[in-house]
Amino acid sequence: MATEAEQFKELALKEVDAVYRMAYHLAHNADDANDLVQETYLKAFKAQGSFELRERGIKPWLFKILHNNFYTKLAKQKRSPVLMEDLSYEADKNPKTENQPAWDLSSLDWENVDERLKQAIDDLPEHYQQVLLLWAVEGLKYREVADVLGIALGTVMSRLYRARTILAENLVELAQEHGIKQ
Amino acid sequence: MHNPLSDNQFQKNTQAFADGELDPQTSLAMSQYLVSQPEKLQQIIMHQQMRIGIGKAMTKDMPKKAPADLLNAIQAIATTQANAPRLATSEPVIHTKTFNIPRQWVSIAALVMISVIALNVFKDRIYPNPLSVPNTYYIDYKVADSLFDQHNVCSRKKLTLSDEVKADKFSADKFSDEIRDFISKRIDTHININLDLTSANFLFERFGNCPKGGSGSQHLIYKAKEQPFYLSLWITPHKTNQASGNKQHLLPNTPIYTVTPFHDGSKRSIMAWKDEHATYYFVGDNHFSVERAADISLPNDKKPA
Repeated sequence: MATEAEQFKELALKEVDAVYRMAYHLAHNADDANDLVQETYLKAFKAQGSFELRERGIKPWLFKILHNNFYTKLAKQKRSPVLMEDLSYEADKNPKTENQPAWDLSSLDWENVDERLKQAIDDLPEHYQQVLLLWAVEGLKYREVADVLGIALGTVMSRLYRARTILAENLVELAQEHGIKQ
Repeated sequence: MHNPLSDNQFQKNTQAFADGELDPQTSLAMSQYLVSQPEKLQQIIMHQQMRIGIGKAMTKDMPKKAPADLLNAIQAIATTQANAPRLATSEPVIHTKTFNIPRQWVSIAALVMISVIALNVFKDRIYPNPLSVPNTYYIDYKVADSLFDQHNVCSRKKLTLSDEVKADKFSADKFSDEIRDFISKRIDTHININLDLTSANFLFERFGNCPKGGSGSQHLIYKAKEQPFYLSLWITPHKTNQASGNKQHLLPNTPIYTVTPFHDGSKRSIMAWKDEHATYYFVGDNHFSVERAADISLPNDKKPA
């Protein structure tokens, strides 16, 4: 029978690849990503007594430690400003009332779009990319993304909505090449 | 019964619905809307495919795996920390949202109907994350509480079941059929699922009588290969009085995913399924295990897409 510590170790080590991907995205280079992941796991193993296994497993918890670690370092250099789009969201508290965008890319083959989608994502502000990464690559739920990033649930929804809208608008030309009417 | 959604309300919720993020009540309203306007399903599919496309694009030039030397370093950290004293810490704990689920409002027939339509029409295009499937449904937390408690007690603490029968009583290559026959005779009912979950990485350990699933129910316990995870399956014959809290919520031949909020705010997953002979409850340590087991166990024509 495995002990709790052994179970924790097994769960944590399974997520190394995902934590590394997130670290790489934040750090933009392999060396810093390596350091971030090691620091994350060191803190995780020290803090394992506070971990409670939830439905989605250990990954969101590790991501939160990773993000806290990364942004703590950044904050030492410069305190992060509050984003204007977050302020505007907090003012209306109602992102779900936004109407469906005018674009319709329902016929686009999203699994095989060319380099332009990647470029469009790279052109997005960093805070949009982070939400997209946690949501589309790591499969986290809105609430988990909010927990990891330390932002409001509505802010996650707002960023996802705007990121998707921007991407779709940037891909209109591609859609037209595919014969999709706007 | 709910007021039908307006077109504008539907549009407001399209993305969250596609992402499987709406509360059950709004999901049901969205499903009912789609019954009347099935052409709008394409919008849902588009958002789900966009998510897949974004995921692929974002990982295109990103390393898929951590480098070997990093893995070694983390293994070393794990080993070093294994016997180190634990620090009092305020490190984060992820808490999931607790929903207050009204019990009486659910018109499950409409939800199931639209789910079946959607899953049949678009079964090859739905986003594969089971938690994104919109037909998540909530059952009575008391029933879920009871089953999860029993799952943990019986599997982890090795509690001996009443009239327990262990795996070594059956032949290795035909144990699924033999167990099914054995249980069928014991509870005098037909069992119509595959009990061999080896391909889901779960090995059968034992089964026995357990009334938590309802009178006459049998509790089968599986353990993951080389991992500390367990899976429980309750089979409850219909001829007896089964778990009353679930009975009215399960429709024949309709697999229902459940993510059930606990009184303490945490969530667990159950997959429940009922046919004309018995009710089945899969209970595991995580939703992924339950989903994998159900995928193998359910008859092909009853599997969720």
